[in-house]
Amino acid sequence: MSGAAKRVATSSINWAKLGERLIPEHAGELSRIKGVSGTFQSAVSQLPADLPKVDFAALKKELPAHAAVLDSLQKQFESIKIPYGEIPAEYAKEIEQWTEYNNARIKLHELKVADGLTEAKKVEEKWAKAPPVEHFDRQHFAEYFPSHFYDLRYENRIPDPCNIGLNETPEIEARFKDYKVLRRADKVDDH
Amino acid sequence: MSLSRFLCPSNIRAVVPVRLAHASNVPSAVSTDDQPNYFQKIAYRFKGIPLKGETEAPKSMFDAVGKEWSAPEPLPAIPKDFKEHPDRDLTNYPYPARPMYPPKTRLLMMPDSWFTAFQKVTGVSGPYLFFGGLFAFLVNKELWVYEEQGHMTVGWILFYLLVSRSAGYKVDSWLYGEYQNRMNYFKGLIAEDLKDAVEFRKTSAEKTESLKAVRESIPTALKESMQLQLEASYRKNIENISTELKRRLDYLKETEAAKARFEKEQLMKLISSAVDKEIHQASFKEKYLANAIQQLQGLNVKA
Repeated sequence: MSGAAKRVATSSINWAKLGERLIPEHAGELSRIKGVSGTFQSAVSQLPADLPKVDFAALKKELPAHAAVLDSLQKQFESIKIPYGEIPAEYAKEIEQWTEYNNARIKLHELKVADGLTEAKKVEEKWAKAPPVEHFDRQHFAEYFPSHFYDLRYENRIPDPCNIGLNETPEIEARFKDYKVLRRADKVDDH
Repeated sequence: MSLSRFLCPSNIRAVVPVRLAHASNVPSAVSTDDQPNYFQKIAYRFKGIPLKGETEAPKSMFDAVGKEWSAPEPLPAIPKDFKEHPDRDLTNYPYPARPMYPPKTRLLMMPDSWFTAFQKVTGVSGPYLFFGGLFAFLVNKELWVYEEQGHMTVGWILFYLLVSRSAGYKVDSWLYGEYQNRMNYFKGLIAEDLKDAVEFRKTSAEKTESLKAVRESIPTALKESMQLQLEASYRKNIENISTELKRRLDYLKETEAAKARFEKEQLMKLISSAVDKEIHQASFKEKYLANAIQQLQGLNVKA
């Protein structure tokens, strides 16, 4: 009566353990599946697993007047077959598609990690090669902290030791690009 | 007239004249440590000794005088194989590491290296004789002519000695603190730069683990969820059949019970109606009443 398909009465997933392993991004996916699974799980646990066993012989003795009815009932009851049903193929296919998507996602993540690790390694190597900051040369400061120090030997900028923002706008550089240009164009320097 | 007379009139023995105040540090025969006099109290203040009943030692402005500053911890050493470029010749041109302390000097400001170079040839006193002789020669031949304000140098040297010995320790401590703050700022910048790398390693490892768990569990969970759904509907059908069967059997049992009950009722009705009929007949009354009276007469009642 239980059918040929394998019956599943409880989920084999350890949700708590799985939840610990997942990051918040994937925990949402988990909680959705867990919710659906939990609904069916509770329905399964509330309902009876198999048909009850009825002692028709005893009943016939008890109710001899209804023996014929009981006979017919017994026949009907014994001949009854409850279909178990099976998972539709398209749903199983959807799971396969999801697995493919997940594999692609993992591959992308691995590529990202490989790239990121190269970058991280570069940064770590840079600082591993650097001397202790107490022994930095003045050239090292410009080399290792370019956003805090500048090297006027190759950087095209105006010295701004008090950091008043002389290099933030191009006007000053444009004004002093050619020293021969006068402050006022109409004032001719002819003496 | 002594000031102490106004201060502690009861203690006549502790009379110290003002002009002898400097001598009051020496415990006098007339005062004890339990009861220091006014000037002794001042001396204790300068020395940083707490008075009786004071829990903390007084903070003296002369605490740091004459103290020599030294760094709590030395600067970190440069790795031996550190090279800015693979071509650097570390043997002949080692990396110029920052020294923790200034190089050694003699006679306040003369580099020690000037003396040691001579010392190898002329002995310990040689360099002094050489420099002294050279200086004397230059002065003698008026090659070195003193400027008219030149004697002020002596004053400046004295001033330097005074300041360096009194405030030197505090100045050095403050400068070291500021230097440490500056270095910590740069170390913070480095840590911030490295933090991204560390964070990336951590988060990427977590995500890899999470994706692995997802790959292992989610397809199974989805399949099991559908199987549970099948099981639930199957069990629902079982429950329907069970209730229907029970309903039918209950009906049969109930009809059987009703039939039995009806039969019983009918039988009872038949009996009671027959009995009633019998009772209401006149002959019944006479027959049974006479019989009963006879029986009562036959009773031998003893009071």
